[in-house]
Amino acid sequence: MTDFVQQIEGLRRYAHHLTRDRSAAEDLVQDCLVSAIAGAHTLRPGAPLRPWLFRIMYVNHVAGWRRRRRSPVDDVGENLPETAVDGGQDRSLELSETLRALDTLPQVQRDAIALIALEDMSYEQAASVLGIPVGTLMSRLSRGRANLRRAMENDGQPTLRIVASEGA
Amino acid sequence: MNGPDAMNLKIQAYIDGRLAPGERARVRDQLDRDPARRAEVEAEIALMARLRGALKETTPEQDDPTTDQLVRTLGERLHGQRRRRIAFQACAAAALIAVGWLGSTVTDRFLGVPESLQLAVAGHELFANSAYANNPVIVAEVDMESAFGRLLGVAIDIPDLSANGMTLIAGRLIDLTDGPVVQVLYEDRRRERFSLYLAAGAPNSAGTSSIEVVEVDGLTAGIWSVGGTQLTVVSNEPPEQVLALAMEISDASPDAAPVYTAQ
Repeated sequence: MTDFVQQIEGLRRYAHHLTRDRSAAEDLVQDCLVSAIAGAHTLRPGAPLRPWLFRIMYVNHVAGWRRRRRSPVDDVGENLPETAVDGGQDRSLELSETLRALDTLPQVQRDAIALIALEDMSYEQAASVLGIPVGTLMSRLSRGRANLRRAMENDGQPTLRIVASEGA
Repeated sequence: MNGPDAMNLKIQAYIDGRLAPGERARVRDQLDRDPARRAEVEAEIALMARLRGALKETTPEQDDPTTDQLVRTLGERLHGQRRRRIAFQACAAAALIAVGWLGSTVTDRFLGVPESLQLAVAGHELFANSAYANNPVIVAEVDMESAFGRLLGVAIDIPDLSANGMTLIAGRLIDLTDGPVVQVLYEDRRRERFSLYLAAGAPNSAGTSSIEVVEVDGLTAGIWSVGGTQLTVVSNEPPEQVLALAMEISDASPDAAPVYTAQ
């Protein structure tokens, strides 16, 4: 059960990455759990729980994002973290800069990087969560990291948000 | 995949620390020959570490009773599903034994029908951990032989393994459409339990087969036949110990006499 609870903590982290909003993240986790309860029979015997849960949450998130896209602007990239960060102003500034750089990436690259960096998922599991082939995931990781590096190199200067890139 | 693509994949795995030491050293050698690329990779490694910290530190603590309740419900649902699946497998084991287990050869099972063994393994897990097995009603070989014999209308011989330090714990009859199977549970000195399945073989089968050992779902099964009786032992011991166990059981049923015969 401890392992199960830890997986829920991972869901919360990734939900917060996806939404950058405390209450929206909790709603997303709850939606995911409700879907998982209703679809518990779809978890194949012996299949790992974590990618199954993350996949449900990601699908719910994308569906919600598509619904919201019809309404006025709701750009997750503009939502900076609400949480106060301990460790002084320099540390807080560094974290904000890093997250701001992440926000300049296309969402598909952000989501791939977060699964690998935040949840330390295997490439196969991360690809299954995002519903893409492993090769596509690797391409998104590679391009995303390069874009992130460039965004950090340009830190302090006005940056344009990358809305599309080859292979994204 | 061409060279640069393959190298880029390795570099991505290098950044994430997912290469074996030898491969990691080869990528490092390659990067040493390209200082500009090496600088980029080092920057990306540092960035990923920084990003990991940033994402974790900015995730707020949550303590929502609705979420907690949903987590509990999902845990119960998944746990209940697993219990039902094991119970289903145990029932299916009986059904499979009826239609196919005894009719197939050992070779057939190993090559193409491991499912029957998986189900026997599931039957062992279920029975070894059941409340009935922990509170046995029938604890003597002679009682069990008598009870099963009366129910079946046949004479059976439950191996006495007490000289080997193995105690009979419980037994049950799996009553099937085309033949009965007896499952008996023993416990050794270390309180490790194993199941022995006894069933009638094909009508005209005779003689003694060699013991075949196979690992299934983390447990080990040994299968052999003696005088028209099919024996299967299921245990969580490694293969060599299960083979030794099967030989002990076989020795406890001397003269190749049927352990289980129709009257």
